[in-house]
Amino acid sequence: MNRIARYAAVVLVLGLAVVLTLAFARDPHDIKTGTVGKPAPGFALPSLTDGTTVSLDQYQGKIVVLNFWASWCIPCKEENPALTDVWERYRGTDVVLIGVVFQDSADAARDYTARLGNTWASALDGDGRMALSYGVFGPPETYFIGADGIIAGRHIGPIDEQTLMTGIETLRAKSATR
Amino acid sequence: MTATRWIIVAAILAVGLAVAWTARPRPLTAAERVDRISAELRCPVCQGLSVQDSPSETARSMRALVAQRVAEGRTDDEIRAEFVRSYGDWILLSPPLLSASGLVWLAPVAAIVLGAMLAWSRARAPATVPAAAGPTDAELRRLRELVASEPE
Amino acid sequence: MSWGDIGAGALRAALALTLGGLGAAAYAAWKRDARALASARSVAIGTFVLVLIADLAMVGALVTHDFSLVYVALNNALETPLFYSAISLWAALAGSILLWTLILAGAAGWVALRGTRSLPRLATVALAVLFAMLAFFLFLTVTAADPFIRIAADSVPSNGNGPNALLQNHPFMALHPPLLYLGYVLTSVPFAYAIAALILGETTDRWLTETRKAALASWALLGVGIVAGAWWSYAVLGWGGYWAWDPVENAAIMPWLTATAYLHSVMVEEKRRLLRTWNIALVIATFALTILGTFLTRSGVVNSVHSFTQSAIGPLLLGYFVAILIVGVGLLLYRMDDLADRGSVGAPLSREGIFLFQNVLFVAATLTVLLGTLYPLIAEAVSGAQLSIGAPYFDRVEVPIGLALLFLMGIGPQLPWHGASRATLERQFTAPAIAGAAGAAVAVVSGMTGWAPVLTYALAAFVTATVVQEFGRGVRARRTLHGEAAGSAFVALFRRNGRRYGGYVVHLGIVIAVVAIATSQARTTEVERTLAPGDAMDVAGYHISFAGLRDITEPQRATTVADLVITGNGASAQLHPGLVQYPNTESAIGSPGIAAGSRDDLYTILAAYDGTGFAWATIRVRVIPLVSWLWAGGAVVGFGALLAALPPPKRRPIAVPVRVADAVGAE
Repeated sequence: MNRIARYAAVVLVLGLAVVLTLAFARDPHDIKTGTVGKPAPGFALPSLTDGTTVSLDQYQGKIVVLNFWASWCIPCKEENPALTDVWERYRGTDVVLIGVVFQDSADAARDYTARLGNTWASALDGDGRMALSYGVFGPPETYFIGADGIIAGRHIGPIDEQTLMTGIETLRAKSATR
Repeated sequence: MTATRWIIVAAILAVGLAVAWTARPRPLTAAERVDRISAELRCPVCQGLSVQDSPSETARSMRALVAQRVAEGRTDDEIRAEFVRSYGDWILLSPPLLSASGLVWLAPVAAIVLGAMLAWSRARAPATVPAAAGPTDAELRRLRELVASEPE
Repeated sequence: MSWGDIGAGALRAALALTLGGLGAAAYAAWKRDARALASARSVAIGTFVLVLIADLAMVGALVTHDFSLVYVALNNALETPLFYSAISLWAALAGSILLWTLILAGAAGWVALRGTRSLPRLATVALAVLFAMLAFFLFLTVTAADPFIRIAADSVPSNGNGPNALLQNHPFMALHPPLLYLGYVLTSVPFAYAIAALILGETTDRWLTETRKAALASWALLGVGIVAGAWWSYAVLGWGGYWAWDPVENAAIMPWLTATAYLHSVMVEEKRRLLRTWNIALVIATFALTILGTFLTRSGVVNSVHSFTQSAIGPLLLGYFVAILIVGVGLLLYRMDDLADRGSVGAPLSREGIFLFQNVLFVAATLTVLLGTLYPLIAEAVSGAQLSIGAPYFDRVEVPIGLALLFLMGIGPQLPWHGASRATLERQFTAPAIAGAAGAAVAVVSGMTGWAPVLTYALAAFVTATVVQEFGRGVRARRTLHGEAAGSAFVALFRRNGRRYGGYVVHLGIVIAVVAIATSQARTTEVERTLAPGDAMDVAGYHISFAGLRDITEPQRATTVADLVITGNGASAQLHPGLVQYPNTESAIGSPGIAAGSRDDLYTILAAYDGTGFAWATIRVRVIPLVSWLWAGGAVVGFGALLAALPPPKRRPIAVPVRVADAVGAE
């Protein structure tokens, strides 16, 4: 009886110490989504600027960078220059950048793009369903979709040019070898 | 049986009946299903709150999606699976019983059963006050006097 | 001299002094040296004064907006009102450790002055243990959690960042953390005595009686602090609930659960000299869990509303936690054979038998909370899978355990020590059983759904009846024995046996709280509508008309509020739920409008609004029945604990032969 109690006490203490030490190895803000590695959910949303529809289908076979943003999101402003640079660099190639407006009014979002001079297409996700289907937590969030329509990666928080380039070039290399 | 025993048995039966009556299976309304499903979903932008509790906009659109799926006639499992597809198991606030995480359901039950067995065995064992340590008759008599003489 | 100089100097001096005191106390205990003990006493007082100076220096720096200190620059702004400036002492990590250290120094001072007089040797060792803990916390305040780090003179900002938005949005912030910290820190007194008893191989249970008040006080303060925290989160977080099984809430409830188990099982030791190992284990567990809670809150390993930002303090606290477990459990295992019970409980249906089962349930409840809180960490470490454990899990496991405990709470006090005859039991439980059935009937008739609320009502009525019966019996006995009037007999019960009858008051407080929780969880009505100014909505008999939106600008924040006029159910009130924007926070935080009442609370939230023209607002309304009773129940628990702490009246000492006292377990 005492023997069992002794072992149990030692095991409990050791177990707790190990678990808590391991806990340090983990970043509580690093939350994995369920969609990376899976086919990108299709969508057809109204464009922010004109009456047309932005859909994933129309970019079949291209590399798509989806960027979720909002006018009220401060880090989005931070990453905007990087997005602009990458957009200018790949304009007219097999790489497209699509913005998705997250929990924002159309007016405020239009204001924002006009102010920052963004010229890539943005789609309005009015009821938030599209963001839910991708497993979005909050803006800014960026998804890389390969030519095969599979989500290859995701970045949470403001993205820099380096990360964008790496994401895109990895996908380009992959589609070139196929 | 004595009258008091009858009364106690009847009272326990009454409580049992009341509990059984309220726990009886009954069809849930659509709103109740929405509540139940969204109470099990974690709000992605909150700190551990459920989609049902959170007033955030993300939670509101998730509730709306759940309500729509319920109206479309999807089962609870299908609706949960849709969210798991986008957010992973992380989105469920309680792990399923039949999974590797079933351990978390088993552990409390095991702790209670083991503990209760241990307590029972200790409680049942005769109260072994060593005979030699027991008071003598004279001591007991003296003790009774003392207790009786003590002002309450 | 600046505030920073004063504070930093005081802390460093306190650390040096404490290390000296540790040596003095250890030497005093080893050599039974009176002079060393006297200097350890002076050290305890000196340390307390120095830490007090450091705390006051921090408060001084905060209220005078001395932005040359990093802590002040990060947690204060020129616009912060005086009140919130002062309580920002515990708004962030370093300051809260400072407050913690102050309370710990106070506890050490109390043991040095009072304890070492009644139990000199034991208390001296306990004092050494407390000095060691104090040294650790003072070490934190001069290293990883230094609150007095300065900003270089040429880059001192003209204004600070301001306190965390959630922390400056409600005056309860003044109440809930200090209460919890007091509760947390006071558990170190019984722990220090337990360690001292183990070190000295003390086999009597004098240390139990000596630390009874500290154990009771820490338990009561933790409990009241938890309820105050629930009230804070209800009034501030704006979702209409009060408990979310958040990791940090869990960290607070765990030591409270083990402390509750201890307060009961310790009676078995006092009466029957049983369960000695077990009681020490509970004391160690309670204290270790308070440190675990501190670690979880402050290391950033779990994400929580209450978490402080990640810092270097994590590994240090983890080391401290592991050290405590190793020392505590190691000593306990070492002394286990000396502490073995001579005898056993004897009858399951006795007071002590019920305490045993009650302890099993409390420990199982604690282990469940611990497992549920840590399991996501374990799962990710083992398989890399991310998963969540939240309210649905804890509710499903803890509610049945809680109900079983409620049942035992009705049974236990009715059973005499050593067991009772069947006839006595039947007589005692007739009226409570009828009350239980009536409680179930009330629940069903009032339309409760779900088995748990109905069973809660039945058990609540059952327990209430047993308590009333106990009071009735006590009053009757006094009236026949002493011819007292009913009223004075009732008062005399508390005066003569505050511990027992105060305990019953605590039980009543728990019943009130449990009924409030069951009712508010089961019967909340919620409606969400988008309204234009002039529109109205009806919820559960309340008529809520939306007058319009307006902006309120204050120096430290900007608020948009919805003006609501409430009528119906005899209410006539104006509520102003709003969204508050603090300059240091990205998104606005909700500030609910609450009309509290004894029957129900009307809880209104401004969920969304038209920011351009104020043309519409989405209002979420929750009608939450009996939720105020939860706070009242918490207050009753605190009051009952106070009654239980009343000193017993002086008794004429009676000479009981030692062997007799031992055999009958005389009080």
